[in-house]
Amino acid sequence: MLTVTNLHAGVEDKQILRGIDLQVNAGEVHAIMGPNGSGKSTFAQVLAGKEDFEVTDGSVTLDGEDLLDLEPDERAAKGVFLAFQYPVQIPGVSNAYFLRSALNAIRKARGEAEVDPMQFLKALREKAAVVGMDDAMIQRAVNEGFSGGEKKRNEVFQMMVLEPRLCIMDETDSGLDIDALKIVANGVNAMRNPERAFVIVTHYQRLLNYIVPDYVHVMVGGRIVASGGRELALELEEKGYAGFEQEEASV
Amino acid sequence: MSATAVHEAHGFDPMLDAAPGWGNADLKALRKAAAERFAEVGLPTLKHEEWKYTSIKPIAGRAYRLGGDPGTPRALPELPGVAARVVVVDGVFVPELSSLDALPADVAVLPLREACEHNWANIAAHLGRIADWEAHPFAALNTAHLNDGVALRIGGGVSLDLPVHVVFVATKGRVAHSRLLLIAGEESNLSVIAHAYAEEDALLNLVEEAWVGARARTNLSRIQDAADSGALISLFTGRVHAEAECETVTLTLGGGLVRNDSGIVLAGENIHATLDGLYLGTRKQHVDHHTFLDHTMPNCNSFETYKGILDGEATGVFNGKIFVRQDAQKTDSKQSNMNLLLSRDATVNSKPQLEIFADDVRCTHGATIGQLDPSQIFYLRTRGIPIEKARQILTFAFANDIISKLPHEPLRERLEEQIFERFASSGTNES
Repeated sequence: MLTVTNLHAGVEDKQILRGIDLQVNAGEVHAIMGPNGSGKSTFAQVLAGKEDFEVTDGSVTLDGEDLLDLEPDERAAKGVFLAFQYPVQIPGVSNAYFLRSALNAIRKARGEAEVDPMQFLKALREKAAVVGMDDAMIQRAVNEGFSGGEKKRNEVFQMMVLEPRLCIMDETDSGLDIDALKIVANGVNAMRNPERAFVIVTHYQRLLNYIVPDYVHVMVGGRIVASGGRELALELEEKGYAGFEQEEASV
Repeated sequence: MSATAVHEAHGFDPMLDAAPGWGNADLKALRKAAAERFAEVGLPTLKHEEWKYTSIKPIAGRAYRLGGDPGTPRALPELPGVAARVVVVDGVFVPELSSLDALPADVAVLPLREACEHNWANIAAHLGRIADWEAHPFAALNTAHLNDGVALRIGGGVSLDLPVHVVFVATKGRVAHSRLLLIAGEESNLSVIAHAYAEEDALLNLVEEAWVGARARTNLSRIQDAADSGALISLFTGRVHAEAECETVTLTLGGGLVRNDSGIVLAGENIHATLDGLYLGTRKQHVDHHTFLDHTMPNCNSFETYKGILDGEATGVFNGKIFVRQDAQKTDSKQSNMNLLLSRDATVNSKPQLEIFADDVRCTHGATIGQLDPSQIFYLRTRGIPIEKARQILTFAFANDIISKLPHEPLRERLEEQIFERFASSGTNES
């Protein structure tokens, strides 16, 4: 589904991603772990189309189509979703209106009819319940006055409503207590299916106890320096990133 | 400069000659005093502190048509769910376009001319005495031409559930000096929607005065608009008494030249007053709002939020004054002015002015000028919303904070739709 080849990207005078190679197939869950500043979040944002980063080399394709050539909203229409590390507040725009506009925009881009407002609201309520959000939260302005945990739940809620094929989750576990973490993981696990893939960016392996990945990659210095199965995450938990960082430094 | 010279220089018809001889001695004296005041001060220039950012050159050189039978308005706003509709075209009350039949007996809508002739005792204390025409050259000019308009009076203790809809239009090529006088008796409950529109090449010079009795509740929604070649200059002043509530929302949709002075004098204790506004400007429009809240007595609160959205090469001005007089202890007043610039060529000047003479008060003010937040736009785009739609949603959300304060649902819904649609094509010279 997602093929990343030799991806280089950065901001003006600073190279952050220095040659990432990654193959993600439908149905797989990939965890990308790494120390602070390793480029994990940059990678997630580049995939979503953040214009602050300039891609200087390499390619990213989604089912063979050049993803880097598409606008962020076009990527969303193709089924790419980024759950933000720091979700943005949108005062004056309710969650319900926001999601209906988003879903209709995606459907329009795909040549589909708009959703029925009543049916949509019903589906919205059902999905909100999965992540413990009530009607009041659906009607509140997007992320305005939400606690850190509520914002993260709202990201997963949006993901459930928009039903993307490629879910990129950037540090979704940060700032969550154990109960909220379980709620978020339940939402994600409920979405796992053979057609959908996940790229989960996280600093800690804690989240991976609840969302069990198929593959774990270690990112250091803007490169993936090690890949393996679930056991790699447990090894990192025990030994930390120090060994990998030394390896990277000696390259 | 003499009155005649001012008129000759700026194309306004001589008012003293044009002003009809009707009315009683008091009214004639009022008109004469205002005419003399206008002759003394003349039209404001950029050297005038209150007109520093607003040049009236675009209108000063025009030859407007004054007086005669009112013209035919191109369009008149109509609203469902109102108690009465009052239409004033080119300064003259037009009974055929108005409908007053459903009003209860203790609510009177009077053409000003009729009110002056038959109900002088009721209005003499207020007409021309609330709005400070001595300080506003255009209000002086208006008062000098005080000829017709509408007086709306609601009796003490009377509640009118539905709003009264008043429409002021200056038709193409005309200058109209229009006036509204609201008199809300003690413990009354009144809401008014006042539409004001200047057509092409027209100047609507409007003065709105409101006298709000003790414990009364009044709500005034003002919707203003002018053609790109039109001008709208207005002064609203409310004089509010003890324990009353006075809420006002002004929506300015645009216009070639708009200058709106709005203020409330809090003349009693325990008053709650709000002064909110939204102003939109596009192309080469100029939209200027000057506001004042004058706290003269203790234990009152006032809240003011004005928001501006400027696109194209439009210019906006906001000047908000809050006076807290020496006696006005325990005043609680908050003012904020927020501006959104949708294009590189749009500008705004924002100036809060607090003058506080009491020592035990809480007054805050803040002003911001900014653009749409790129991180918000990106967030919406990652959810599939195209950039134009993202900008439209975010711009409307900024405006809707004020639109949502309009109490009359049909009016609010209409403006929501109209303003949302308008932002579909905003900010086109960027991104």
